[in-house]
Amino acid sequence: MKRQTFLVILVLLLSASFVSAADVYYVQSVKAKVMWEPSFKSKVMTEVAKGYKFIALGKEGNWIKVKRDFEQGYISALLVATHPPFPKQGLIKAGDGEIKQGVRRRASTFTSAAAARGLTQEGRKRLSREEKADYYSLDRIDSFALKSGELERFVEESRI
Amino acid sequence: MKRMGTLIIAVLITVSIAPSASAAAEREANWRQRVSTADDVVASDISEEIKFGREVAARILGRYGYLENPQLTKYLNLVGRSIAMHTSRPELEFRFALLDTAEVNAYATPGGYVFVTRGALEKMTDEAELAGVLAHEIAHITEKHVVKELNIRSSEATGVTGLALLIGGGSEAAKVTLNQLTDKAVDILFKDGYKREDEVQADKHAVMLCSLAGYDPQGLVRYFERLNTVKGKSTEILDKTHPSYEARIAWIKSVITEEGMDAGSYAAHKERFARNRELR
Repeated sequence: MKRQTFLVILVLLLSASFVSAADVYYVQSVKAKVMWEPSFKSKVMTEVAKGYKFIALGKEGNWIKVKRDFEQGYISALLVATHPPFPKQGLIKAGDGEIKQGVRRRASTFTSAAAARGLTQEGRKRLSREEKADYYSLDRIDSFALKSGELERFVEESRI
Repeated sequence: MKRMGTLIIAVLITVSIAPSASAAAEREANWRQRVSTADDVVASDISEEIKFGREVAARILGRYGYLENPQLTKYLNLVGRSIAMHTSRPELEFRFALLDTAEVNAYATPGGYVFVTRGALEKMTDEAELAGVLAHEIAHITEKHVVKELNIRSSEATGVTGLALLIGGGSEAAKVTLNQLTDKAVDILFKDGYKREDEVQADKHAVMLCSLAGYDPQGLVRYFERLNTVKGKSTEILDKTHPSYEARIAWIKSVITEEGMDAGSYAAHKERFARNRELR
């Protein structure tokens, strides 16, 4: 009975170690090519889309070894992560007014914060210096948007 | 006999635990050497990363000024976003803009803002060179180099993550911290530079991103070779905050060969670049 319990524990421990060794990855880029070899020179096996989930068999340099159907291939490690893709994050403009106000208040705020942290006079001067911040131009940059399909057409025209 | 049985079981248990324990230790030890740090991205941190990045971006714009040109801005965004499509940060909206200065440089801020100076654009001769520079900056963002340099780490004990913990919410303390972090980030960009290993990683990722997007990975090499002949005030900050061009060209060439990017069909789009740059 005792021996059986030991065997059960042993099997559980062994299986747990194998599961933790296997890493699940998700494609983060719009598309990802699966190559036959871990090289940009390699021929393309297939292409998978964003969100595609796979179990990695290992890592070779900058490439993740993956199994697709019954064959092994490689995906660039730059295109994957161990979590599913997060949705596009909207612009964070909340508290913009507070931030601008904060910039105006910067000198005194920094001086007191620096003093509280026991910084030297020179350190306080450095931290409390007034830097210009251009939120008007930032808003102009944030408001820029490409028209629908413009990026896709550009990518298509770029193909050689 | 009983002792022997216990010994065998102990050995087997050790063997079964060892791989996962050593793998975890290896992951921890090599966290900076990993191929990509997209795994460090935590959902609750993303909005704070963008908020922080906006502050740094406003300071860059305050220093140099925005060169507003709708056609050129559109072109920069088309090239930049065609590269960003191939990154591991789909949650970020990458934004590309031109800075109105003769200084030769490019900057990235957390959350997706990428700036290239008028002076840098004037030194480029084709779109692959521009793509290389933008890809280098994109890599600083995807790998969260500024955030790591400021040593903002997650607190697993509390379950609250680094940036969200520091600057999340609207408290006075959070605002003060945001201002202080912005000051430090500006110092990294204009004075201290990134860690050498971060510059190496950004260069290597840049050429791989260019290759994934179909751009000639040699574009960045050509650009650095040209800048290496430029001396003077226009490249002062770039020279002060980055490793030598010789070193950068050497490691870029080595990754191009190692990764098999020295063969294949890649584009430089010289004419398209010239046509768009004329729109200034």
